[in-house]
Amino acid sequence: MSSPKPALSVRGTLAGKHVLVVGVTGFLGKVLVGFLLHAVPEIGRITVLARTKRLKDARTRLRAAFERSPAFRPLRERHGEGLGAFLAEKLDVVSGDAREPLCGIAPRELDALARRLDAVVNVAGLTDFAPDPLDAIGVNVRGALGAADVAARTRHRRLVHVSTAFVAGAVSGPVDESLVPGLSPNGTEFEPAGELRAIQSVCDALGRRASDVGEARRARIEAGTARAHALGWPNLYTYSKGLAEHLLHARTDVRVTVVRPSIVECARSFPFPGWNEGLNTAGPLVWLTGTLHRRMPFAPDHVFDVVPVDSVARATTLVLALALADVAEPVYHLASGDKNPFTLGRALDLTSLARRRQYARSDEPFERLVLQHLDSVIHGVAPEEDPILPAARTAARFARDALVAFDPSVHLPAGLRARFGSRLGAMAQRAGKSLGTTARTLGQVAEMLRLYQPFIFDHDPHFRTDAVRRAAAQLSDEERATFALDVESIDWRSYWLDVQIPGLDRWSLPLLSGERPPEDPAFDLGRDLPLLDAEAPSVRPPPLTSGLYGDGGPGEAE
Amino acid sequence: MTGPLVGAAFFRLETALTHEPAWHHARALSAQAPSIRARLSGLGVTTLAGTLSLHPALGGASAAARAGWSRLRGFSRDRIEVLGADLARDRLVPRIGPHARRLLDDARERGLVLVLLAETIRAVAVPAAAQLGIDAAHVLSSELAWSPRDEATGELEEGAIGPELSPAALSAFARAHGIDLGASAAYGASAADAILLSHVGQPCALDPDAELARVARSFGWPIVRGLAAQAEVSA
Repeated sequence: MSSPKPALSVRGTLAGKHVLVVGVTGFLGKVLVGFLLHAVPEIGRITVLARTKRLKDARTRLRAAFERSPAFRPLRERHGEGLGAFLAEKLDVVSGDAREPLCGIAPRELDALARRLDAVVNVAGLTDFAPDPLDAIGVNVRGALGAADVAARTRHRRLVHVSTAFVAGAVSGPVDESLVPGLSPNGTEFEPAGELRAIQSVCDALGRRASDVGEARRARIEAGTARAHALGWPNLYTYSKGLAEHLLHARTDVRVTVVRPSIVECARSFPFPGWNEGLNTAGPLVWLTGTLHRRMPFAPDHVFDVVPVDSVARATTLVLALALADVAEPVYHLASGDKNPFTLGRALDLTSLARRRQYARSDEPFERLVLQHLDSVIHGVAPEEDPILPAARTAARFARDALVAFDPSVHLPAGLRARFGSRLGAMAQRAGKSLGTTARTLGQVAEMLRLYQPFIFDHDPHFRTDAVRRAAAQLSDEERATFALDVESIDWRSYWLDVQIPGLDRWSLPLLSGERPPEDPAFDLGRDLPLLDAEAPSVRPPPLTSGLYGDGGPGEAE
Repeated sequence: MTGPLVGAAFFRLETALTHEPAWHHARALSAQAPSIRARLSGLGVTTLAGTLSLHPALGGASAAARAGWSRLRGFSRDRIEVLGADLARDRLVPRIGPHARRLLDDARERGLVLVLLAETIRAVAVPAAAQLGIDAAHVLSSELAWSPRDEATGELEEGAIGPELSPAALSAFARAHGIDLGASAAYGASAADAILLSHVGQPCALDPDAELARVARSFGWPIVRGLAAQAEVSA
């Protein structure tokens, strides 16, 4: 007895389609575009939006990324010298800025896109927990609205918007894939458009009132964070992403599908195991376990909902196909906790074990003999209630001040001064400097724990992922193997020890000490990436024959 | 299990191969508790127990091992299995000298199924076996009991392997894996291994203690000496 025909083909649906991706220069954006080009070469065209940065125009920046970024390594390996030709056929670049109206795309290019696009995918986002609200609003809210405005001008008015599962706010327990418009996470009714105007107005007023740029920024962050808390969001990041979702939900001129990944971390396999970019959520926590502060204020049984970036790319591709086939549900969580939970306690234990292995092999005696044996331990007290850290910081500062103030000519008797004065003075200055670094590090630790407290201690949300599983059930076995959210198969021990920690060590943690992660060896595309050709006639996609199997169905209405 | 029976070669990890008692593993693992206090406590208890193991009246090495495993109470499965694998790789397997490895290779070349018998816990024995090319299914070892939270309870599961392998356990294993004990070899070093050696067709005493040497001579079992010194040199 033959199995029923799959109800959806991702490749068939995406074949010949033209999508605009906003946010390609980010961590997820690169992996998503790389995955689309690698796994769905049948796709018609991807227009990627990028802005000029540090005097490099969009095209130059993106060419450099395709030539050197490890994220595009599989494409370079597959196509070799032919990559330039492949990209010329499948990709073009449009200059713009996600923070500007209509993504800052020039009118001529906008008209061309409006004629050609099948969907807009917005992956752009500012992921800092405590950014300047002007930046968070600019990218996470206005950027989303700009992408929606672009989508609204196209034939099909489709937008796939990447948000975050943590728009759920300061909650614990099961979190449904839904949005109640105008209701904040703590049940406060609010008017999204009015909220946007209000937060903008407050930020503008604080800017005018402050005496300098730094004071203005601090005041804005304080006010924005207070507002986020008042509505039940733990920080400005989740507040701005949540506000964006509410505003998009209110739009009637665009069909929005929301993707909400949880904590996006190192790739399992695409572009290669361990790939990561920037400092995401786990990076700072892993860094924390390597500091002198060993008492971790984690709730050990709370879910640490990590999802590898390539799992997000796979499932977002699936959601894009659903949106193109006009069968998408409104919201998709991309998370691991409901089917394969990984806890904070386990993450901490495995991180300690990973460090032990590294220190055991180290050439540094201090690491081998001391650090190897200093595991981080769970401390079941909220960060704000832990007296040790502030006390340690105060002690470090006190000792630093005392050592820096040490003056052999004053503090040593004449006899000792002559023999040891200069040496002791130099030692005191070095020790003082070192303690100053320690005090600063402890300050960073305290600030980090304060920002992370909602996630590591206070709340334990469990994001349901029913929608993406329903979608994957419609696929053939082969396509499910490529495009399903594959988190059940993650062996967390193996992933954490062999993929995540080495990946963070290589690609993310060096950023904390000001180092740049390595780029891949030089590769020459041999040509510039094509710019969006506003004059070219619109290329109609081939007739849909395999987007939906079975009779009826929406198909392409041309 | 159906199908033709095959011969096996049984190797005792602690006596024939590494000459290191299981309580040393317990001590090494218990010294790696997350907290320093638990570490020092574990180290102290297992060292004391190990010292007492010299007195058979106090339970011997087996009691020392159990005391040591009890200090793993509360350890996560991750911690025990990761550290166990590291212990096997970095400490146990390097102790196996070239002559012992030759015995393993000879057995393999003769078409015998290699079986590792270990008083130590599975988290140590299985990774050690893997490095010796022995399938996990052919490891007969003790196993820790786990709580529903996947933490060690400090107890061993029923059927833990002691210094003496019970004839019933040996027969049951042989039946389950289609092993013909008459066509099998076994390598042991202590008096406790006499039972194992007496149940196979090709017993061999490796650096036997006085009691096993006496038994071996009385039964005409071959005796091989010098492997223990190699193990210490290798370690």
